[in-house]
Amino acid sequence: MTVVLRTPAIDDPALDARGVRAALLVAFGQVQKAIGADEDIVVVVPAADLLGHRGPARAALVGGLVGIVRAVAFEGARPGWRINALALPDEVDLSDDTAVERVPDGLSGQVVTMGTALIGKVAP
Amino acid sequence: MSTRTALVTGGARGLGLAIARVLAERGHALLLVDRDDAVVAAAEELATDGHRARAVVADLTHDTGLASVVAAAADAGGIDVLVNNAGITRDARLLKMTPEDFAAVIDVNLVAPMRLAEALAEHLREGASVVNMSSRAALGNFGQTNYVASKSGLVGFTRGLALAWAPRVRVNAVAPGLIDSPMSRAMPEDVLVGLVNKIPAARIGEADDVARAVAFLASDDSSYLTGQVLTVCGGRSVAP
Ligand SMILES: NC(=O)c1ccc[n+]([C@@H]2O[C@H](COP(=O)([O-])OP(=O)(O)OC[C@H]3O[C@@H](n4cnc5c(N)ncnc54)[C@H](O)[C@@H]3O)[C@@H](O)[C@H]2O)c1
Repeated sequence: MTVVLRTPAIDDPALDARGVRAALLVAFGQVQKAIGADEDIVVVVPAADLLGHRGPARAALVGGLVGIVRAVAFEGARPGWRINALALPDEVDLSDDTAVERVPDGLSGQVVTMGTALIGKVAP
Repeated sequence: MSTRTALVTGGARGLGLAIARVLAERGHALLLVDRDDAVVAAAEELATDGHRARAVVADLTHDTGLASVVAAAADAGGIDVLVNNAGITRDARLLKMTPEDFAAVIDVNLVAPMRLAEALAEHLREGASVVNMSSRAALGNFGQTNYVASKSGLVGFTRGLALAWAPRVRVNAVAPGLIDSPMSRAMPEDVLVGLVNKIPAARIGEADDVARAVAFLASDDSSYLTGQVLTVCGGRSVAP
């Protein structure tokens, strides 16, 4: 089964450093639990925050979430853990489960970026 | 030209001290910040060599520590270069890592730079440069979920802050790879040799390699760079 992780704090316009810390700590616990239960994981994030388009705190949170994805995939390469980030464009609701179904099997440690808004920009 | 002032966190030793020395040699007055009071001797040594350096003993994870750094910046009449370098590791495999291990690393490596940048915003002079110390490990590493999250979060913060503060202040990051340090010297010889063999530059990095990259981003030579990550890893991040 695939566990889908969403971080409500990402849409808090008043998000600050302490909020980033709290949200990352929650995500870390959720990822640890899911990996311990042998689940695949998709972490859903807004694509705009990959490059900081909605402010530094949101970008720090999404950068931290992507870091968790990459670190866990790195450690899990041998045991075969599967964890990816799915970055959705503004026009797709973060709670849309159909988008999650489009993450291909066999990937791990990737940032799957949907939409066209980041084409021509730094690969996050 | 008036003297430029640089504030370097984690300046008591290691990369922070090397960065401080290179910036001092390039004419900056230094504010060296560290929770370790060895920073006092580090500043004295720079002063003995004819540089202007002042130490601030402060823990950047505490409000009082942040307040004393802001007071020192105000006292200095403003800051031209902020180097968020202080950092820690607390490694453990994912399933053995405690929430405390995770939070401690996030607190020093991500929350403290975010709060410090915010607190110093009004003391940063027009044209100032902020350099955040990330790591090649932000792209992934074994047993470092906390560290990778913190350093990748710092890259995100760098991009967001660069956009928010442009064009008044530039914000970039440096991401060092394997650097000669107490941590690398503690590795078993065969592990270290194996890692060096994967580096296209065929050597371990020196603190000065990182310090010169920071000095470039701090200087007007990089005046058209903002929101970028300079990876100083001898090519390891692109090698197979
Ligand atoms: N050495 C490497 O190979 C390497 C590689 C990549 C990135 N980095 C990063 O470079 C930076 C410096 O690394 P280093 O090897 O010189 O580390 P170091 O441990 O030698 O020095 C770090 C300094 O930060 C200070 N510090 C830690 N927590 C603090 C706090 N809460 N408040 C104030 N000061 C605090 C420590 O007292 C210490 O003097 C870190 O951010 C590290 O993550 C290092």
